[in-house]
Amino acid sequence: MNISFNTRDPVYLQVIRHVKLLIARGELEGGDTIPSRRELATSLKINPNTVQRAYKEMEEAQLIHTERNKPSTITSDQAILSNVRRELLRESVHQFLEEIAPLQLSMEELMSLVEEEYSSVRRENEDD
Amino acid sequence: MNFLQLLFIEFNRMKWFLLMLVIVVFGAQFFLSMITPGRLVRDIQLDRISAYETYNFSIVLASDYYLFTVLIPTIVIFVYVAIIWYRDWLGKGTYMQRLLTLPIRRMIIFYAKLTTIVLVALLFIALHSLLLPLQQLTFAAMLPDQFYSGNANVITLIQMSFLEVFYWHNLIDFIYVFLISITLISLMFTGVLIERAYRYVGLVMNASIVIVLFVLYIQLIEASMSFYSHEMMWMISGIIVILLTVSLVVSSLLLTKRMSA
Amino acid sequence: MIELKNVTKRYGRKRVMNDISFTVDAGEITCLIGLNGAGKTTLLKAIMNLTPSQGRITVDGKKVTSKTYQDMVFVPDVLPMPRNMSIQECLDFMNHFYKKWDEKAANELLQFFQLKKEERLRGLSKGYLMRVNLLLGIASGCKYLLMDEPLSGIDILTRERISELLTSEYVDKKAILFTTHEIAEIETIIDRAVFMKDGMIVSDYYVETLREQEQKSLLDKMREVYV
Repeated sequence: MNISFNTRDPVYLQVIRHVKLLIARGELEGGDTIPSRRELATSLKINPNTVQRAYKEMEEAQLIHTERNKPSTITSDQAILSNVRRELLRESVHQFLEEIAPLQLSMEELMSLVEEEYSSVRRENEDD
Repeated sequence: MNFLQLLFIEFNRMKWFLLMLVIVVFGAQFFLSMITPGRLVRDIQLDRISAYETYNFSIVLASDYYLFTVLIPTIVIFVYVAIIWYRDWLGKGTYMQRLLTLPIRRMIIFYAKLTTIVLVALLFIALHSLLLPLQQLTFAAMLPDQFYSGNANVITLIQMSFLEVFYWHNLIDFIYVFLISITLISLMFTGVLIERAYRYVGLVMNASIVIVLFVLYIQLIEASMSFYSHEMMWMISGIIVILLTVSLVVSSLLLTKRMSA
Repeated sequence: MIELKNVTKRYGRKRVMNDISFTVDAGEITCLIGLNGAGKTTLLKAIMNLTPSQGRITVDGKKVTSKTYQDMVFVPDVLPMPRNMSIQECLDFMNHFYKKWDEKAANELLQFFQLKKEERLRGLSKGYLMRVNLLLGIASGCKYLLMDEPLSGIDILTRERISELLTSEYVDKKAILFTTHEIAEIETIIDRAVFMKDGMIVSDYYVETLREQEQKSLLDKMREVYV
């Protein structure tokens, strides 16, 4: 994992978000093991207590499971996993809409713009 | 043992300097033992001194140069009394910070440094007493036999020269000299610690202490006129024990409560 | 726990530490932040009894004595060892005095820091001297590690290594208290930031809390405190 951190937001939230992103992109799947708290702290150069907090929150949200003396794994619960994806998308869309709110676009205008951009972004990604 | 470890480090730090000093000092003494016979012969040829007398090694010991070779290490050791402390504050990387925060009583640092100085002084005296006979042999080998009055007893040689100051004749004497030296070094150490604890004010305090001790010394010399020598002996012993005790107690207090590094 | 109560130090009329009270806990990395002359280094030295001060300083409830130094070690800004020593000699020296000396950590950290045992200190750069300095501090087995400007004036590779070290198992369960003015590098590493100004503690934050409650970075807070 490699994250560049924003120093104004809690680092533990950024770690959680990053794990969610990896799940949403399919880079992490149900049952995959994730790095230990220690490994993650050292590789990202962040405070181990912060990583601990992120893992604790993810455990509470049942996103990851940790059994004694074993590496933590991503949950196999598909409902939770697809929820992660939806939640992230919803967040992004929400953020996007808040940003363009001052432009006062109508729904139709917005949708056609989205369609246009969608296909061009698609093409760009395929070229990569 | 913690003390030995610190002592080892002290010697480890000065080993090359010490070796160099030993080579220079004793090299110079051998050199003098070697060239003095030649000069003696020349003086005889020039009729500056009598050709009908014989000479021995004490002529080398009597020369100013030889005195010099002994004075140099003596002065160096005295200067080293200050250097052995200041080096640890002012050298590259403040070693004093490590020393003061080691899990040992801080006075052990003091004792290790004190022992280092004493051992270096003893080392020079021991080496000298070992090398003196060899210096005499060198002298004898370089001087034509007709001018040589033969090997003298080393002890006699020492007693007849200024070297007497550095040697002792019996155990009591030895203990006496030893105690006085240790007290003197300890007092100088305390002076260093006073300066380290109070800086400029400390320098003034040290100056006053030196004046007081000097007055005490004068008083003692005056007193020696009106007391028997064994009475003086007891008096001086008492004063030395008191001075040493005060020096150690004050040093201990300064080291544990007032040191900065 | 290291506990300070009303600690004050004067140089003549100037107070370099003015009524400082705070505690440092095991398992936390605390950073003392402040401009030059704010009293950070003096505070570390006062805790180590490397400078006299008034007030009460206790470590695990007891006053600092020679025994305390089995649990508390100082890593000053420059390695405090004679320069004629080799790294090996330094290790032996520390091993001799510290009962809890961690030989395993020492060997692993030699590797981690790319240090060669037989090298003499005299030949090492500032960065490498700091590596030795930290190695000795950590391998001493002391619970409390007080470091003065470990990140200043050294090369970037060494700084990276040090950052890695601070997040590693070697400092786990230790209490770390260090001074710095290189904030950017340690923002995500430390637990707690203590700001000092003119010999006083002006604010004291857990950095995650600061970000969570005020959406402020350490740098934002620093501007607030000092400008």
